[in-house]
Amino acid sequence: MRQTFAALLVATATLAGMPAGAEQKTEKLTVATGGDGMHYFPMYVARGGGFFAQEGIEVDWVNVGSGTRQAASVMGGSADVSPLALFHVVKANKEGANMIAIASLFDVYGMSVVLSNEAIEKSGIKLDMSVDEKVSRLKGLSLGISSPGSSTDALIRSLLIARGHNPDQTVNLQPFGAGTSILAAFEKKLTDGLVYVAPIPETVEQRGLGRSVINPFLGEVPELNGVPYVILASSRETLEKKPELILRSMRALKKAMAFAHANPRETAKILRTYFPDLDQAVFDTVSETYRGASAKSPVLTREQLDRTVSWMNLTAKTPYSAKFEDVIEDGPALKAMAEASN
Amino acid sequence: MAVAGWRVALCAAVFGAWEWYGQAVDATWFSAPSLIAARLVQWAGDGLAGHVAVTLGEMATGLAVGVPLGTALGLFLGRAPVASVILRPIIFALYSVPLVTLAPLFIFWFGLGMLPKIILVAIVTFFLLFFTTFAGVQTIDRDLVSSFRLMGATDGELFRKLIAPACTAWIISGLRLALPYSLIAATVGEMLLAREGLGYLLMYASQQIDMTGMFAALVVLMIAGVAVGELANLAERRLLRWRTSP
Repeated sequence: MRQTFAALLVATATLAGMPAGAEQKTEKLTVATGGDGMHYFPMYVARGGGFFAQEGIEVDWVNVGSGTRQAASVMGGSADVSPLALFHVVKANKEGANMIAIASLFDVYGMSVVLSNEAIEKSGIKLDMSVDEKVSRLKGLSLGISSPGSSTDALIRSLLIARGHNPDQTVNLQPFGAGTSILAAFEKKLTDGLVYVAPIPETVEQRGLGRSVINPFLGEVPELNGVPYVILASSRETLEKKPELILRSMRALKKAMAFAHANPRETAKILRTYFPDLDQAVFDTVSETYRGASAKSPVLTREQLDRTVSWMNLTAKTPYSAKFEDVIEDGPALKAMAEASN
Repeated sequence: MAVAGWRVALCAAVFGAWEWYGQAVDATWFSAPSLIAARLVQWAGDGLAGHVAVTLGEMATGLAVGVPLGTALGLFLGRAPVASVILRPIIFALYSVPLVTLAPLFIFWFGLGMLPKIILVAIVTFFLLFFTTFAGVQTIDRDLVSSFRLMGATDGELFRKLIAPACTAWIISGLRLALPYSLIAATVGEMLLAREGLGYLLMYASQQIDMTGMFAALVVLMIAGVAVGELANLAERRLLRWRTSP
């Protein structure tokens, strides 16, 4: 079904967008992902909607399961690109690693803090409270995260530290690994809450087990506003060896982003092919929320980097300082955008 | 016949209870045999054979590398006391490393294709064959070796006529252990990084909170496991015809 839908879209897009007689050599773009998640939104649209194919790109989508393995695949050269959190690239850059951010993918820190109904009652948290008040009321609760050092861990730690709390003394952070394990633990009441990406928070709410109490999608976490979550990372070697492939990828992403924001229903259909078994109600909620937070342009800005570094420094023992040129290569994305406006 | 009947009855009871529980109480986490069967039928027409072939291919290639290397090193160190004293602690230290933690390095060095999984299988089977073969060589009666030497046997003759036959049962036992472990290693490797294979199916279903898909992948894995186990039994019966099977 995914292939048929993509083929139809490719045919339409090709007829509409390509000059007559234009020929492009098909090249393979290896993408290392950390599983499937809605925060890869523009990548799904670009792939499922046929925008990569339209640019002569055959996508080799490899699930390596974690950020560390994604980084290893990019730095080792076995993957051309990988959708990662920008803070991973900043950290890797500080360690002298050969990794660079080339495109914005998802603009909101795509996860939330979810508490069980019992924990909400026990803590006295109300959804209309300020985030400062909500965070102070997390004291004594156990919260499931994916793993130490992960995006989920970074979020909860930054929320607490930014408000003067020691995470290790305030809450009990329990690593569970995969989202299914966290959900199982949550449902069996082995943890009071969890910090995770979609569709886990939405599934919890849909099953009536609890609520998202701190949600960056609502803009209620000031230090996270303007911090991009997922970017597309590559290595300087790949940029040097395959500049045309990277440029074509940027073109595909640019078109996918424009398509997603202009065509919500068609975009939802594309996305559905990647999450066929997700509950329909959960899918509808998630896809609309994530579509709104999906990047509108692949170009990463200095302000986004500055805000990311400021947020990282909330929890850093040694402050980070990142030069835009060291962490971000915006040339291909800018070129793709310039082509669009011409 | 009575045993078969009891087995069928037991299976029917377990699957019946599971079906009832899945349908009436909680299909979200426990799914149900009917849903799993339907999923397997759907997969059968949608590339399941390809996933199975990939996993078995990684398994077979890894075995082809790990088994001869492990056997050869076991035979060598078993007959080389000085080298054995030097290398054994190092091999034990390496054996104690949880290979899963090395996944980023595997990716960095060996890429994203089948190679990292093949190497994972090769390492797992290498150790199993090394330890069983080494133990086999150690059990050879030293007086027997001395007798062969007194009769003028060369190193080659000693190996062909004494060491190799004496170690065969140990090597086959190692192989019997290695076969199911190689399937597990290939699957775990695919759960760490993959675009296809049974481990990929398991991981994908888990990430989608799709318990039916997860159970369906497990069923295929169990069938593959039984087939591999039977293959190991067959290999043992053929290669050790002179010995009564346990």
